[in-house]
Amino acid sequence: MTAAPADHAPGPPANRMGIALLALIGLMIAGYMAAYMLGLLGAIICGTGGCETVQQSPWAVFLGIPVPFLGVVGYGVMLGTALLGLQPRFLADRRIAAVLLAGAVAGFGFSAYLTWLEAAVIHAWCRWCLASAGIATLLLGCAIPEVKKLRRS
Amino acid sequence: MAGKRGGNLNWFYLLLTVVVLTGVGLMVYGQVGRGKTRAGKASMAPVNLAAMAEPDLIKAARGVNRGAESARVEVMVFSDYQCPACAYFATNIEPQIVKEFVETGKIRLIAQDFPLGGSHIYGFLAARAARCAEDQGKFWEYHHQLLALQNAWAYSRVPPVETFQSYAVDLGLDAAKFNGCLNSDAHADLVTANYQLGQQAGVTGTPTVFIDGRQSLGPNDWDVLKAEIERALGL
Repeated sequence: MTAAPADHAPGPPANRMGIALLALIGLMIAGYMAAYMLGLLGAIICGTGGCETVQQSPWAVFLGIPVPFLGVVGYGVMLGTALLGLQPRFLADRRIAAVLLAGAVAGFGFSAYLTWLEAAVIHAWCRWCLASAGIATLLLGCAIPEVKKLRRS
Repeated sequence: MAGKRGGNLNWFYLLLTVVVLTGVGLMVYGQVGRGKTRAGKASMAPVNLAAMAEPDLIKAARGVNRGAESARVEVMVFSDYQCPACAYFATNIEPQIVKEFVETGKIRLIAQDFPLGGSHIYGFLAARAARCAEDQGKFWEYHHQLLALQNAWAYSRVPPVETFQSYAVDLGLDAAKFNGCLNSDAHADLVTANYQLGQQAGVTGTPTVFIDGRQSLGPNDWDVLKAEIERALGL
């Protein structure tokens, strides 16, 4: 890759825009699941759908915190950091790159663990959880270019 | 806003706004639709099971009663023992129903089986185990034990036969008799008949509660359920 000429202003980093967009979608999914868990979206009953089974299993709470709430915080941090990282003065800031990379790796790892739980322990699939796992995977892909920024600065 | 070096991000912020509005719109639309569906499914008129079910099915299906035969109102609960919401109902709602309405002779509580299947792979076995306990006169104690300790067996890798047997021992049941019942197909026809009865009554999830045939709109919300029972009692 060739460096952009000094007089040509580079566009905003596409990977951070991707992270912001994905994190926003993830935030809405996690928010929806958190509202469901709080009983704000109707009576909690079991149907043949896997989401109820997953959401009401003991693994829906991690270290005393409901998993959807962790999702809200995690995606919220990723969204805020990515938006901050789009601002010109933070484009080369290593801290932004570090947070995005660490957040993406942690999110991917946690999603992989939750997906394994659904497959091997709970024996039920929640489509919203799977959507979130897909987003976490894409987020990791979008965060890989941050490795370069960490090394460069 | 982004300066020159970062490029113009206005279009991107607009995109994010569109995504937020679309997401919120879908959620609101989903909730409105869900509300319609729930209202549509919930029986607005009592269900007359005797009229709608096959006579043979009515004969084969049988719930377990608790409370006075002379009670004015009948509260029928369809449960799946592997359903977490049923565990919530059994440990948080049922004791209040018993205390306020059953022990005072106002209602009769009827437990019905509705093993959902799917991911609830041990629900049918658990329903049979409870019926094996009923053979020895300890249905309600065993029913409560199964649901209160659901997490101990519901996610087991192997069928939790030994766990169920240990509950029988804990409750002082004749272990040999209980094990013989559990390790056979005893009560499989009864549980199946109860499930089919539930299907005919329009049960699609658990717990589903019928108060004199009228489906409760909030079985796991004590305030809602209590108000519905009181209405049926004319209080």
